[in-house]
Amino acid sequence: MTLPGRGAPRLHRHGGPGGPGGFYRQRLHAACVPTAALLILGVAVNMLHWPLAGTAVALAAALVAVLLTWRPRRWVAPVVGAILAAALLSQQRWQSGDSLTALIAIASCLKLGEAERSRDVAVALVGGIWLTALGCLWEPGAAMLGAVAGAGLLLVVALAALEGRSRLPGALRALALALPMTAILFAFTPRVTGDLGVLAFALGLPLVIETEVEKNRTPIDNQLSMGEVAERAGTDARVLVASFYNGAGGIYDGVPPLGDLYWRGPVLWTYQDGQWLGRKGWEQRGARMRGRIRMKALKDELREAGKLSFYDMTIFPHRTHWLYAHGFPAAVPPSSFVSRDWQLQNMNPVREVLHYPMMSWVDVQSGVTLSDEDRALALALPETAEPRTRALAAEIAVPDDPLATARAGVRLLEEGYGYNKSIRDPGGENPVDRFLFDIKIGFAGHFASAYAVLMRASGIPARLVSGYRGGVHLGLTNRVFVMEKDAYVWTEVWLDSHGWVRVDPARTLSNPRADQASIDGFGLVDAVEEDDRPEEVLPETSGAAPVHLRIESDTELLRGDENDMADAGWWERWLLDFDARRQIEMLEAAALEASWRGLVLIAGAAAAALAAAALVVMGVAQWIATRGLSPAERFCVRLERRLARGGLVRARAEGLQSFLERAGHAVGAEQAVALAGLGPMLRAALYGPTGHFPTLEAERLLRNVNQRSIDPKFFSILSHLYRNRPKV
Amino acid sequence: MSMPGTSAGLRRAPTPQGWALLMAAPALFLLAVNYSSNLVFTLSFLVLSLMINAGIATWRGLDGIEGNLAPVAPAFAGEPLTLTARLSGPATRRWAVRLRALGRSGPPAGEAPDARLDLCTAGRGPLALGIPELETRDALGLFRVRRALGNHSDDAGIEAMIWPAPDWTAPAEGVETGLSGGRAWNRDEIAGLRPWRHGDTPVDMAWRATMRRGEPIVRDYEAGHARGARLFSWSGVAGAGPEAGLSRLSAGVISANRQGLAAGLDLPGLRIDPAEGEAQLGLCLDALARHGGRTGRLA
Repeated sequence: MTLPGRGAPRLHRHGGPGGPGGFYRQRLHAACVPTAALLILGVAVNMLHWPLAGTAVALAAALVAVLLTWRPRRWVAPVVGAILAAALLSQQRWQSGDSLTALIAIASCLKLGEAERSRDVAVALVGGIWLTALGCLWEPGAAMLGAVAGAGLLLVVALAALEGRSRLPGALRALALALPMTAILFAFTPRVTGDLGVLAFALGLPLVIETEVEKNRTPIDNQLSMGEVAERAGTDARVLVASFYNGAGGIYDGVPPLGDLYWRGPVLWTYQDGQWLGRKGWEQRGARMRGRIRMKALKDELREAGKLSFYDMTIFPHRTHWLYAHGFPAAVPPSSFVSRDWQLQNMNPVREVLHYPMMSWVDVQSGVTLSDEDRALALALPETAEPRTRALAAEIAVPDDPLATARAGVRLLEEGYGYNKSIRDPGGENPVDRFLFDIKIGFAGHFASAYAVLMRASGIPARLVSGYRGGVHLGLTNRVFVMEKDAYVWTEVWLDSHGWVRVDPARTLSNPRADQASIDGFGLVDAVEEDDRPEEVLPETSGAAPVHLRIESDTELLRGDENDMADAGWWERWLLDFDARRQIEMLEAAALEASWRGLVLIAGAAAAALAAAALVVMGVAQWIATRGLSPAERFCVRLERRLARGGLVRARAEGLQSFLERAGHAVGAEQAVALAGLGPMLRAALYGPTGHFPTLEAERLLRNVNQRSIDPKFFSILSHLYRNRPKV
Repeated sequence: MSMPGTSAGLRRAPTPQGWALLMAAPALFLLAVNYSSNLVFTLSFLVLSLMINAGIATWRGLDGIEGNLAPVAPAFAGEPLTLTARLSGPATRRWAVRLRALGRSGPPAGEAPDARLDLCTAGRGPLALGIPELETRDALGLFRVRRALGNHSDDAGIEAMIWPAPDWTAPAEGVETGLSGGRAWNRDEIAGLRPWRHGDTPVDMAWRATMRRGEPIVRDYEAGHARGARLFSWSGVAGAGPEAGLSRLSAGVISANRQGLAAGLDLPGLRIDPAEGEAQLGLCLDALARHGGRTGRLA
């Protein structure tokens, strides 16, 4: 008996390897270095966007973390953490994204500083990953791509360090194996545009209480000022979800281009004191009902029918009467009606979520006649209002050519005016004058209002339509989600030859990329996707065929985008800008349907290709390892490898026969006989004078040698081999 | 038919690091969805892929690995209790295998043929180690797989003995109970020199021989002398307090054994007659460890 003596090593209180003593402590320290580097990387990618206080506090936390790693003190971390957090929060708002990020940085740094166990390091690592991820939201670009790559590498190195330095090659191998899988997941995970709230609502999940929706909504109304839409466009309140059907022939297939989705709401006829108002008396239900139009008459309003679009609507409560439909309504939901100016209205205010099937005409020309009353209403302007605009209208008006006048008005607004969502109501007596001649920057409401006044002053009947435009198309679905921020206003002008024609002067100017650049770092950007059809439909002067009034400027805009994409690197096109649309393109290129099923098919094919490539590589590696060996030697190697998988490893100095006997004992009495019988076969082939080895039989035999079961044929083949063995 | 090392009873689960990343990956994914950030998608998929790879790598991590646990030698309180398992199986899997008991894992076996676990002991008494397990992890340590060592399905596990730490500063003086043969041992007669052993006092150091040989050498009074018998009595150390008394008795018994004397114990309710040999020493130390019905503790 050996007695441990006084000189035996004393371990750490926490029990040596199982606790933070000895080699465990060393590994913890080794892992702290890459973890600290990851945290510093995470802080670095965020600190450019933090205020000075946040940066100073995060750096102080990192410094304390390094000191604590060097010389641990249990009480330091919570005390310093509390002080730093208090210092930070005194400088910033509690709920700001900056505060949250900085607090994650502080907590992670201090956690690393007091790390005593691997789980502490793991928490700090996750903190570092989160910081990097949050940093990526600020400004995606080449630098951030590098940060992501660095974070992945540091994560792997830190995890390997926790397991011991000798595991680093294996960890890097694991990283290399993970990269193709990452690529597959990246490319084929269905992308859904829009935030989680949008997704949840589109899927019908009751994540937000409806009363909150009501509270947050600015009710759309029969009255509108120039800047009101811009104010409304700042909120995230839910408005509607439209689920489009696929169709064929005369039915529109799927979701129309988002830019063409004008969700029609109140129609405003009267311009008075800088405000646009609906028809008089429409607050009363009786007056509204008198102004409705029957379905047959509604169809008569169509000059030229386009395609029908079928969709299911879900409207969230907004306490007013309007329902919404895009294009020209072709059906009327229950308990609702369509007015003479094609407003879809409910009998009662919408106080709860409404679902209704709907269909609309897309690409139509509508409006056959304009009554004298409506013409007068659509031309009315207060006598003394907007004098400078009136003078301008007289300048641009083309006598006897309403279309040329309309085009001149659009061109006027395109040139020299800027688009900005944050511009509010100009106020004052003549807001359109102020906008056109002084401010010159505005949102949809400003442009539509100015255009309508300009047209009226030029003698062209015009009215304002309030509602929503576009929305968020949930990728790989047929759903479009519209929020309050999609609020929009456009103009309709009356041309005798074509009826009411929609004119959207702000459309060209609303460059989504410019909008995106001004959004805060958390990228709260809903996909204001531009349509694929840039033309604004205004009819040609001489005939019924529509002319694309603004095609020139729009194509220029799109060409600019294409040029941008052409200049971008592959990583920008296939990584940073990869989205649902590109996935659909990818599926279409593979002649697959744009659906989840198509993605799964491609992902499976890619995974199979990868697996096949891996098998080829393994086969080549095996061939390189066994080339130059005789068939019997190769067979021997494979047999040993197969037995090793079951735990039977041939010792270095162990003879083949004795190894097979030992293996036979390990697997059971019957197979012991069988495996021992292989010995003479191999010995004869390896050391015999002929070197003959019955490869085919041996291969069949080898297939039956596994850990779990042995085919009964095994024994017959074995006996056959044994009977026909070469004589040594 | 099942092969050794591939039988059921494997327990697979994420490690703390694995759990941390397992929770982080879906959270990152939701963040990416919420903000439509491709870089965050990349990060979340990378973490997820690492997890999947780790899970696949760990799934068969113990296949073919067998371990035979060596008998657990007793340890003195405050010193490591060492568990050793001889491993067999594919070397590519064997080197990452650890031994695990009482919720603590040893280092990976590496190229050594054994997996080893040192447990730091704190209090004397029998220590139930449960059923030790073999454990292995993937290279990133995100998943682990465990299997009980041997066939312990019906057992309550193994037990190790933690002896009282000997107090060499004041070893108990045993009572001489008579000669076991030959003439009486005289400490003044030096029989020769021998290497230093635990329990030898500095007074016995032969410094000149030590310097000459380069290792500690002490004077040997025992060789060729007749053996005496000593009985170490609880009453002799009662004034020192129970644990300190046991430590003194432990030191006394060990010292007597090393001097070749027969040693016995006289504890309350237990008497062990003096005898020589390692078995007698183990018996005495076991009795001291079990005194008062205490169970062993780890630090």
